[in-house]
Amino acid sequence: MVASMRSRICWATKFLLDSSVIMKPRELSGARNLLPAAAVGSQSHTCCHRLHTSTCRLQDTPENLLKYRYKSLGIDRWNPPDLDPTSIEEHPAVLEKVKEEMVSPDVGRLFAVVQVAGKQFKVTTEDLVLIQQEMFADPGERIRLEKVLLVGGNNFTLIGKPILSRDQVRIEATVIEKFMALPVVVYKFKKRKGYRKRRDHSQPCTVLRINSIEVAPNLN
Amino acid sequence: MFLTLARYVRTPPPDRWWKRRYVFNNTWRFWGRHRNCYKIAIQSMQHAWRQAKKGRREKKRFVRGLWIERLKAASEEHGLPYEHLVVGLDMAQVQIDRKVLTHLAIYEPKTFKSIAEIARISYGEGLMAATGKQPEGVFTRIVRWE
Repeated sequence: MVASMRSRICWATKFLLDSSVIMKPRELSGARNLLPAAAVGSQSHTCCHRLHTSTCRLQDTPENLLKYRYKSLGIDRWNPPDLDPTSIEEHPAVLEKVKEEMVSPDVGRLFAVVQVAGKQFKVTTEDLVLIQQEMFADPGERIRLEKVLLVGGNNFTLIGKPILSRDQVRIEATVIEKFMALPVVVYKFKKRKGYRKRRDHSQPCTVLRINSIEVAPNLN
Repeated sequence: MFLTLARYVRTPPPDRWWKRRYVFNNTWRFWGRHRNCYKIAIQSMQHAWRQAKKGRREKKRFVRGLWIERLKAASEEHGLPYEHLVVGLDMAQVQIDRKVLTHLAIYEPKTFKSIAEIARISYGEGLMAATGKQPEGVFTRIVRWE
């Protein structure tokens, strides 16, 4: 029972997230090469003709929730389709449950997947995060982490496409220290050519402490 | 008064002991003469630096392969091949990377299960839209009556 409920919740979460994509989707490496694999067993050698008919059929149906525009076997990833706002009403029961969970006082410990400095981290409260980048904030300042890809608790998960909006999650962190890492020797050498170079590289680092992760029941 | 020659005084070369100390500090763990003899130790030290530079790049590739292996195992547990997982998540515009997905698969099994469901559904829809056929065993949001 719990398992099916979880799957239904996740189905709903796919719908209930708004489509306000702030940043351009980042390309996943390797996925592009795998796309032809998605159509294995389905394509014929005269696939062009077949594809046209299928795309015509897609455009004809007005209640199409995902309006994919197919140029090839792949999906137009750079212009993601807008979610129909009416589609969210299909699963009101699940929405209710997720809202209840989020609003209740004993939400428990939440975890989130956050992207900072080009890397993703899975964080909870009271976590220390080492970021290999120099941040503009000084130690002691409070920061809000905005690129949140996922928020989860014991019984629910919110998954962003690709990120969750600012109304839904709030993650705050404090900058604890900023330092330069121990130097790493970068040594270049080519044999028999008299070519050798040496460089000492110490990466500036920042340590953040995650103070709080809050989830708001303000779903679109 | 002519001062240029006086100003061309060279700084003294570094003390020999310190120069060797630096090398031996880097090579104290090496084998035999590579640890004690300066002429040999210098070369091992530089060799070690070259290998470290190469290794830093290979480590990233290796670790990524490890993530993929783990995701293969994790998605097979949910009855989903790894390719379907990755392509399905890409179609669903979920951009969680493999490192975090592996961590979720190990430590947050419920969340990973829902992610696998999302991937399965969107993969099925993608197949259906590309081929016009409804895949077996999957109930997608777009239902066609043929």
